[in-house]
Amino acid sequence: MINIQIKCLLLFITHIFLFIPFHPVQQTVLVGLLLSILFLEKERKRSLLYGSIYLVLLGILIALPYFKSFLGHSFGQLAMVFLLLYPCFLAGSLLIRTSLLSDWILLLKKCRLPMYLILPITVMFRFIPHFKEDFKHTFRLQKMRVPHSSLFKRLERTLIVLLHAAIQSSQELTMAALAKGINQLETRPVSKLTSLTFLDYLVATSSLGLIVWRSFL
Amino acid sequence: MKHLTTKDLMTAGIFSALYFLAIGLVTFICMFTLPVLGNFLLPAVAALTTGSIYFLLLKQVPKFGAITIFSLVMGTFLLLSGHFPLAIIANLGFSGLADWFTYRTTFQTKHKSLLGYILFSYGLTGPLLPLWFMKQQYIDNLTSRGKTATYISGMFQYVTPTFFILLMFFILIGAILGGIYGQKLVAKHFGQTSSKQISDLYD
Amino acid sequence: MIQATKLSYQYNPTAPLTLNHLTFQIQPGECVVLCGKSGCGKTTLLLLLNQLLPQLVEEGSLQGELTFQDKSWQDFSTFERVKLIGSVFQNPRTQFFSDRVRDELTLVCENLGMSSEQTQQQITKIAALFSIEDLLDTSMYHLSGGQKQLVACAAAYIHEPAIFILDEPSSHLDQETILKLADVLRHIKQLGTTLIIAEHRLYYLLQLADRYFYLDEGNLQIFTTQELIALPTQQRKKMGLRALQFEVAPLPKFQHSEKLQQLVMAPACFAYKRQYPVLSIEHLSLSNQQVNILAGKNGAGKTTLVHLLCGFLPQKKAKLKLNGQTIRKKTTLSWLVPQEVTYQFTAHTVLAELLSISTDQKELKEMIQCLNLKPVLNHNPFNLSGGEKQRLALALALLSQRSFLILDEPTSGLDYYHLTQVAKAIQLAAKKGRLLLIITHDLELIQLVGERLLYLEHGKISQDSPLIDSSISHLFLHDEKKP
Repeated sequence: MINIQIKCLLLFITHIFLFIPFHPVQQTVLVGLLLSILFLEKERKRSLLYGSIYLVLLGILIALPYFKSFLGHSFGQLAMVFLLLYPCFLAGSLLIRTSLLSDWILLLKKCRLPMYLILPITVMFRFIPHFKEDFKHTFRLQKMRVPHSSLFKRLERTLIVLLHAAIQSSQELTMAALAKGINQLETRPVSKLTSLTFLDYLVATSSLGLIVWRSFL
Repeated sequence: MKHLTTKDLMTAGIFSALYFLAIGLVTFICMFTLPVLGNFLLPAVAALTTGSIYFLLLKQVPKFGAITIFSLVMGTFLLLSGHFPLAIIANLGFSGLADWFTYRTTFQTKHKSLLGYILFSYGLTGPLLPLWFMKQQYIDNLTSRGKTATYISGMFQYVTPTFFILLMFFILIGAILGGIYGQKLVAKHFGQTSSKQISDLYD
Repeated sequence: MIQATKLSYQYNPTAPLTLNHLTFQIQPGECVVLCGKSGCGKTTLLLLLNQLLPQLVEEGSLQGELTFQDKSWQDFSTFERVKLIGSVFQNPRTQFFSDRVRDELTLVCENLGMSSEQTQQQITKIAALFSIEDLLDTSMYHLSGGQKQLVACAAAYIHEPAIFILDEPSSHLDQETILKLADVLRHIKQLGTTLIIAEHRLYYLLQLADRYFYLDEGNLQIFTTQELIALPTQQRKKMGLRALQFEVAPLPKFQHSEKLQQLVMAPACFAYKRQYPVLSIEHLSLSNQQVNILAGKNGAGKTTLVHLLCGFLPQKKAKLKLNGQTIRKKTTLSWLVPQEVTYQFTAHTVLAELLSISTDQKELKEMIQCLNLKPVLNHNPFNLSGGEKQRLALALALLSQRSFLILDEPTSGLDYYHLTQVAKAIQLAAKKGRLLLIITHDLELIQLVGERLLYLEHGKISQDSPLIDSSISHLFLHDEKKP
């Protein structure tokens, strides 16, 4: 729905807000904007979950003066860290979860990144779901195989299986890559990213507007 | 990086995916088993547990640049998923150092790769940096929210250089133990991979 | 035309010759099937024919000549190679790069510099050819193994190359899809494309293949279809080749344990989150007096049923009783041998793997002897061939002492010798009194060990009957012409 370039812009703006102090109201507006975009991009459950986490963090911030112990102080400080980084985390989550791999490749090429970076980055994105599935499947099988073993041993055995799977997958993926001429990437004509819509411009203007607002506060 | 073949780049990408999931799992476990301290100890625990991925990658792609690309891919992903932006600098800096030390120095020792791994493990300190290097930012933030100076100084009393050094020491221990464990695991289970025939895998 | 003259290949200077001075020609528009026992060199030859092997194995050395249209393979640029040859590999999970089907189909077109109009045209045409139009906007992660393999074939053929090379394309496909694939390949051949297919399952290529290249330890023998059909059955089996045609014959009988074990599943209905029920079983009863075969098309619910039986899905969804007693922990009752066997190996040698399950010397010796594992005891399980891995997986299942063994496609990708070894292990399990459930659509395996057939359709058991002879072939072959 929202162009990947605008999502990158949002991420960049959240990073700017890390380095210049801003009012909690501004942060809440930014978080609200990001959550609504996430909601519109059909990640409804996730946006509600992230919204609840944000409210909890705000609650901790309000309750800070009542934390007297060392543990309480540490806990409070961590909550502060999360709160500060929260807009970045939301923007990142939006970017990663709602963008297509093909858009990523086009964006990376548009940024003129060299092939030796584009290829591994694309492969990484592509294989994260693959290994997630493999992990689940293997962990389950190991539980069936040795029901009474410790969690550490089971994780170790799962890791061994996944490492072997990684070697085999890299062999197979390389064959597929060579067969499709993936290393020809540099000579491809650049297909176009979809052009920016009214919604994209609206989001971009609102987020840039936040920076302008901050300058006046 | 032109000496890295398509296979090397695929391998680096695939191992980055596996490493990312391993770090994710370690983060999850740390956050829930050690609710507060876990976040500080995360780099040390990660260094302790993910050594085998690093050493297997070294075995599969024994060339300069593999570790840097692996780290850069991870770092880019962390940057794009909203982690602290300066973390990528620590990430890249230490892994580049590890790569350079492992392949470009003439220093000969049996434990060269292990020393490289220790250097690489410090790249995971990125997320901790905000606490020490953005202290002023937090103070300003808290002040703008109306917290008293005593409260603020109370909160940051242990964000000290001593605590920082202690954490760095834990990472060193984690990296040494994790590195030795990782090397042993790889040597035991993956001894024959370098001369593996494709026909062994397929009928 | 492809011409090979005294073609030899070694994986490294100390290894024996994998291919031994092969000389052959493949004419344009011909369909050649590479066949042979495990380890005969089929995959090596295939990877040489699609010009990939030299780039994959740096220490390998190739001798002799290999030319494509009178041009040596070394003179082909990447662009020319990709344009000329399309390749499909065995594993559907690791040969795609994009997350959407449409983007996967676009990949090769863009790499060849086609315009977006040409690309769209090709996508529409090839998607129609492979009947995957309704999958175009689906995520690759939501496709079944069979659908992924079809998409992989379409993606490899998208630019209509002159040579189309496939490595065991039927390995993850159900019967119906295998026949669909055969139809598509027939159509592609009519368009003049040269087809080179490495396969163990030969029956679906009978109408398609012009010649068969039989490889035996790197040596080549060429047969026409008639010559191969005319081979006596014993000789064909000795060559390690699977059946070309199926005849109706009584199924063999073998011994079962006298101690009866009966597993009953209460009526179960299962649906994944917010989706239609995938499984609705009114009654399921398995006994160890028969080897139970579970068959059905992809998506029929076989995997879900197996996961329910193994305890991988919520316990309360399927209550099991063994000999009248309720099973509380399903994971200690059953042992699943998955289709991808490597996902269960965790030790550094075959012996260590066996010892991790059982330390009983007598049993270990029996298993090693029976399944011929002695030559590979010191090997890393991951370095074994497919057949050896399957034998090891079955040895582990038998050593586990679990009452209920579930085997998922145990003979996928195996030659005739290994097929008989798997059958032997199944018969041993039956003799030892294990309850067996085998998911398969391999007719040859069913002919060797099948005694009862459960056919799953849309989540329901549509057929549950004892097998007397192999006339159930119509269920699997979906083709009136076949016997």
